[in-house]
Amino acid sequence: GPDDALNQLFDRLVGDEDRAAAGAGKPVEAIGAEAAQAYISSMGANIENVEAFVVLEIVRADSIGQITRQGFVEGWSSIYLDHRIPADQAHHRNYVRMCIQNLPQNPAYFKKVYQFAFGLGKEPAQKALEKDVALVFWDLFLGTESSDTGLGPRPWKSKNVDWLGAWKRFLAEKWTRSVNKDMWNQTLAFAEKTMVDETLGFWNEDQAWPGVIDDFVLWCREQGIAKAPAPGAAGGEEMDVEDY
Amino acid sequence: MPPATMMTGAYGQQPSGSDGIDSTAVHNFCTSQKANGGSSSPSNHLPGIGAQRGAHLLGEDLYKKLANYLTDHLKHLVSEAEAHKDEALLAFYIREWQRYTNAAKYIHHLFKYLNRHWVKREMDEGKKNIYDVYTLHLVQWRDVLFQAVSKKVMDAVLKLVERQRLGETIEYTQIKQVVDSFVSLGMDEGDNTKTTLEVYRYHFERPFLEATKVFYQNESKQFVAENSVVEYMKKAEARLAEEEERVRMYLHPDIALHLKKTCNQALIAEHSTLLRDEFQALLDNNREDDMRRMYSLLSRIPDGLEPLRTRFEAHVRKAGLAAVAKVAADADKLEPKVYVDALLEIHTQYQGLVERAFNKEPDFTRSLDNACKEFVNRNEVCKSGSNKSPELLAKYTDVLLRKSSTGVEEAELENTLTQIMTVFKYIQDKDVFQKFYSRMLARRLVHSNSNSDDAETSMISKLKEACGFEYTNKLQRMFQDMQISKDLNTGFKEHVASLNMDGKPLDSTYSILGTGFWPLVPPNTSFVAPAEISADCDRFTRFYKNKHEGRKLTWLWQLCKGDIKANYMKGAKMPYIFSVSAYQMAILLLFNEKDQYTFEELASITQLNADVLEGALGILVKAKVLTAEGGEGGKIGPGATFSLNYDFKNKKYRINLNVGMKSETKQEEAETNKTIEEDRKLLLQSAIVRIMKARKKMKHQQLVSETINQIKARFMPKIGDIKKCIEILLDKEYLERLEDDELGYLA
Repeated sequence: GPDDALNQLFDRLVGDEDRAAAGAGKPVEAIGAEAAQAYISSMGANIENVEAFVVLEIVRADSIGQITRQGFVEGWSSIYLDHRIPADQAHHRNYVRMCIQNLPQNPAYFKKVYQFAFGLGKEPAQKALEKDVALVFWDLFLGTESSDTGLGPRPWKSKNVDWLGAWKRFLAEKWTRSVNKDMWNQTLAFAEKTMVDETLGFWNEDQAWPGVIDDFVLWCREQGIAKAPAPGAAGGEEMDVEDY
Repeated sequence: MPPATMMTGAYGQQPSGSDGIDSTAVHNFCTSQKANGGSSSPSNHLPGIGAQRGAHLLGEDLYKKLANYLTDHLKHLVSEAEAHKDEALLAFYIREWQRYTNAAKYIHHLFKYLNRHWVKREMDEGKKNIYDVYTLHLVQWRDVLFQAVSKKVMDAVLKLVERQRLGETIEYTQIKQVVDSFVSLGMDEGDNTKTTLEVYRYHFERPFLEATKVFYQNESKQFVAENSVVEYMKKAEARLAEEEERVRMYLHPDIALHLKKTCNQALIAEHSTLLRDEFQALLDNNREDDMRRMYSLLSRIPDGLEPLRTRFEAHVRKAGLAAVAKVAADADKLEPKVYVDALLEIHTQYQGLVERAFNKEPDFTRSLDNACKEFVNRNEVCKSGSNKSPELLAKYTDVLLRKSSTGVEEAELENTLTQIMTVFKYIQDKDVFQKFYSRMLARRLVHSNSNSDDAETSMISKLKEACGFEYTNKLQRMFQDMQISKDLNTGFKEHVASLNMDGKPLDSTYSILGTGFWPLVPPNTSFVAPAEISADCDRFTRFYKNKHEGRKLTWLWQLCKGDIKANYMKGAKMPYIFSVSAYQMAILLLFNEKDQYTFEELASITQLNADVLEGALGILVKAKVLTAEGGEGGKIGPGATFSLNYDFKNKKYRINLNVGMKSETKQEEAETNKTIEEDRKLLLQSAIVRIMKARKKMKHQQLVSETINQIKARFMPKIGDIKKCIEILLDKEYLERLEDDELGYLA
């Protein structure tokens, strides 16, 4: 069956270090950072950016530095069941390429990979993502022209506002804690909304947004980044007022 | 008396061109066709009967003749009435009405046979405009005489009433009789057993009300132009009473409601703005009677009082804020009593006003409550922190319940506690009060300086009544612990006596305080109790554990205290008694061994940490029980050496050295406030979990408002804090986010 083929595929990834880590004569249940990176590259994904997350999501990795046999077999096996993708290197590569192409275009798929990344990024013992890690991840997923890593698959910006830039400035000024799962997930939800309505007219303080998002909105208004829509003004656009 | 004469007499005069009628004649007339079809009866004065056939036709003839007769009679009266006006006209109308109706009763009786047969048959067949004979009289009066003269009669009535309103004495029975007459004319034409008030209402009530309106409009317009509003209200009140009396004296009760409405409109509603504008001035000058009058006037018109309530509320709030501002000059040194008295004074004053001037009306009470809630929780003193009001109230309660030199009478104390509850009712953050109260109750109980058990119990039951069992649960437990401890100590004393020990046992008392009920924490320092007391402590521990297996005792040394006798002083006639803390005791007892110790030695023997040791020594040095030398910068601390002062002198023989330092109390307050914040978070989270557990799914906004509902009896939660708690619960995975701002409960 496909599981045998997948197990064989996994066996081929195993390096000397992994064998040593497992102990002599014992089956290797996980591969470490080096082998994992080699595998990601072999799938045609860029190890430096969000493409790596696409592969890691498929093989259900727990962290960036490790792929388990169980995750690898179950992950590809379910893709076989859903899409009838045969268990060989070439078909897997094609499938990964298709996923990478889909990432910027399919918001639901993007959200799946984005949310998956939270688990990849955090230390196993921790409940939350270190702030520095979260900042890097945001650049990878939502990067704009101002990001060091360049444009991400879904740049968080709108016509007049570089939202990711603003978000990072805000966090630098006001946020010292780590990023919990809710904040991570809600940041994307909020980002999607800002890209549709850059006046932030969708926001209101009675909604369930996390406090940090509420604070961000107020900060944006203070900074003049998003002007509160004038009451009664259609479309939230400002009226022209001439000076005499 | 011959019937014809009676007839004549009945109507008062002989109508021309008509003959008298008698009952025999009527009977015969109606039945003649039975006798011999055409032969005339003995007194057949009515022509043309012989040609008619049957009772039917004869009856109709007779009925018509009667009607005509009445018409003629009444027409004559109408022409006579023209000669009269005003009171003379009234007299004439009343006199003729009485004669006429009297006669009508006779005639009705006379025409019994006609009524019973012909009239009945006609009416049964549904003929219109056929009445029994009495009603026929009334109908004729109405249609002929009343029609012509009623307006003139009414004019005379109104003139008379106006003269009375202007202060003259009038013959009001005349008006009453006119009213009766008008009412009588309201017969229900379909059913002669019934009457309606339509005629009266149209011809009497309507013009009467109109005249009343015009009269009072004019009068009040002129009056307010020349007099103050206060005077006007007195006038209006008198007028309204007068009109009510008028109804009672001579008007039909049917007019009462309409007349009242008319008067209310003309006298009050049309001047309501003027009245209300005066209200603030009355409030400012505390014109209670005038306010009562204004209230009773404006309560008579729809929506008359609402603007008053709004102003009242604003006024009370302002008065409360001003009263607080007056005492808040030095907020840090503010005496709790002064503050609470300031709040109470305003409440008492305006509650009195509501009772005396505003009829204890619930709506005014609500306005008072709103205003009090506002100034009790948000004022000058609370600027430094919204916890200030409950804190000061709890402190004042402590002052009252504590033993003091100025003994308060039991009854007076109870009274003051009741007043405390009045303010308590308005306190928004009841949890803050609870925190401070339980801390201070603990102190009173532990140091046994409570004024009276009865007063303590009374206060707790008052709080329980106001906030429920849960609120006072711990307070009650604390109280119980003290009772149980009393018995325990008695048992322990007996136990010790039974041990046949050498020497005098330590005179000790122990309090066993349930963990979790008392707002107390274990000491923040290690401590080795002096040998002099530790044997007894150990004995008690064994005694207790024997009684209650498995219970763990934690010594709260920081709360322990004792008396020690000092008999080493030179030149003292009798030994001094020092009241000391357990820590101070441990230090002083060491001086039984030698006269000098270094700070480090003391620290190592007692195991007290530096801060606590410094505090304990500080007071001993300050009181000159010990003298200090060395120490960095002359401070009591590392490097210092302490010696027993044999030259100690004091005026008093009992000296209290167990005094806490100012900084300790401040620290305690800060701690209390911190635990409040923590407790609130827990309270909010458990409320949220409780709600979500019951509802499984809920919109965020609904959850927030439901949480506020559940919590607001304890304190008013901030929306931001609720959101934070929701985030914590999301993080702990008690809750999850669902689509569309909805939250779900994760079991």
